[in-house]
Amino acid sequence: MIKVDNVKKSFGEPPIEILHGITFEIPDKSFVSITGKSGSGKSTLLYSMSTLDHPTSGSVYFDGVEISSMNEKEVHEFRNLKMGFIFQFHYLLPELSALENVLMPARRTGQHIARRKRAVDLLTEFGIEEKLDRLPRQLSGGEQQRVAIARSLIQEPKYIFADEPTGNLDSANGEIVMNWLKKATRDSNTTVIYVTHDPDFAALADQKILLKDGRLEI
Amino acid sequence: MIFLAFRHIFARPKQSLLTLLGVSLGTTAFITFAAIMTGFQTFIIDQLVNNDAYVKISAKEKMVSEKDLNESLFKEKNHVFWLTSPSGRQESAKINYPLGWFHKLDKDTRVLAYSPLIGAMVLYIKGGISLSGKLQGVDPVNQAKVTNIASYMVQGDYQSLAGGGNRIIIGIGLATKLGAKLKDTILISVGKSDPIPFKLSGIYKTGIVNLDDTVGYAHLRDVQSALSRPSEITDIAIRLTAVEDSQAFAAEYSEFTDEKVQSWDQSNASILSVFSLQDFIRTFITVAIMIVASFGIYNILNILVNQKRKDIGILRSFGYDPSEIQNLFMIQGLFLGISGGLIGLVLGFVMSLYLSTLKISGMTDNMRINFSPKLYLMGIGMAIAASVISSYLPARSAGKLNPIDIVRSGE
Repeated sequence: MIKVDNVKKSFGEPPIEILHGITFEIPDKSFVSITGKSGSGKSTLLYSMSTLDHPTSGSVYFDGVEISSMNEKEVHEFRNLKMGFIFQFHYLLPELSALENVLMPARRTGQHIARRKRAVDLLTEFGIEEKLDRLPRQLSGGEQQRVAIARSLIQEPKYIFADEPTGNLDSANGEIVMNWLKKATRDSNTTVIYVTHDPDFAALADQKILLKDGRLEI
Repeated sequence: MIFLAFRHIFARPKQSLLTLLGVSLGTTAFITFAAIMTGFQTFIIDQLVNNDAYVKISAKEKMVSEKDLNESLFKEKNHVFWLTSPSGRQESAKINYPLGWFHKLDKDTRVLAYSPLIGAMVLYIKGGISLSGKLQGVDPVNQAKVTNIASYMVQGDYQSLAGGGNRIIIGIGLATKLGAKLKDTILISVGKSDPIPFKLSGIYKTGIVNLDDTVGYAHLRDVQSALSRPSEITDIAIRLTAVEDSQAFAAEYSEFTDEKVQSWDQSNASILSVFSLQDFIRTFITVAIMIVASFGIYNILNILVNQKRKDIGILRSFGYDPSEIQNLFMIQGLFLGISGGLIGLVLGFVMSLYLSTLKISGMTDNMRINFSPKLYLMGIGMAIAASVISSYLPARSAGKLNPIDIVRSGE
């Protein structure tokens, strides 16, 4: 379970508050959307929850453990083993093949050989089994994003954070991506939290977090 | 991170090759410069040490002064005024009481051997050719113990000097210029009397043109007789058991004598000071080359870090920590530095091999090149040090990048 407790986030000098004391809880195996207009603080909230950024004040708990109580090493391990990230732009490493990209998180702990079968299975499931050895530039935008999703799933994370995962895709590919994310929640013990502008994709969520001017709107 | 570091290197073959080339050339230049200079220096020092004594006691040249003449000629007079002051050196410098020296040297356990000498500037004459040079009168047996002259013989026999009888050995350059062959008679003019005939009984070659072209050796008695200075000697050449003791030995003996006592390095201080200058220039050039090579690595990595900001952001989101990101770039710099250094060592070795086949003026043998492993260790050490220093800053800046800044900037 994720607990967000009175999280505030400010930027700049003098500080401008973007998030004004956000509090909510997300049960395990949830499929959660964060929506709101541009500048409402959706991505800021997502990154503040995900350890990539730090709240200015307030706390984020994962299964009762406050992130700020972890040391650097524990945070990196937690990110590597328990979290997956998907960004609007796929962010694949251009020198590596599709399969090598998927295995990069596992390589950190030396698990890349053990996880190779899972990587191939994921890419097969995503319809890229013929293109395992292709470099990102040899794949279409949709294929690249599917590789990025496979990469986020390789460590069988408990949490996936996705920042507008369909933002750079056409509607058909966007739907495919969302269905796979939903499937990840259903088939494995994974909680998916995603930011989206698209009301149709937001509607797929079990739990909807709507932000307006940095405040939670019920 | 090694896996990804190598992918980065091989994904940019041109950049990597250029950097590699920079380090290789730097290392090659270092090896080649150092091999030539230190080889030359070692050769010269070897020659200085082995062709001459470790320590030499020489008669001090005394100048004629008004006071000396007043005391000996006008003792009774109180005031003597000279219209033209007496000047110049006293006729011939000699070591006073040589037997006392021999006695002292015999008792000194640091002394391996010593040899009395008498030296003079002479004219070597053969046919219509006359050449100025130096004639050394030596005790052949002891001189062979003090220097390596006997081992430099290329014709004739050094031992032929032992019996005396106006025999002489000369350097190969001098023999060539005089057109002299073994058993030929060479006339030697010492300036005071008619030229004296000496029979050429040997030719030596040290490799140093200055010696080979000008110096001849004959028996001490023969030279003393030619110079009309029986029983006089001008120098005592000493070989010690350890060459490192030379300076201390000379300093100790200088304290209780008026004669000039100099170690080999003091006698050749001007040459050795040139070596120091050479060492400084070599170090300066090497450092300059390595700085240029370092800038190559630094620039490439700096550009790479900027190009790879996006990759760094994504790697950080997988849980790769700052030190792992830093290693990613350090490995690349080190790989380029070490492999460039190793290539440089091979190229430097090949260059050195080639140079060792060349001749330069002033030496009759081929160039002396230093192939010491120490030089090669220094070369690779410098390449590694340059790559570590030049990689560290870009790598550290990569490690410090904040993933959220990269992700948010949407690069």
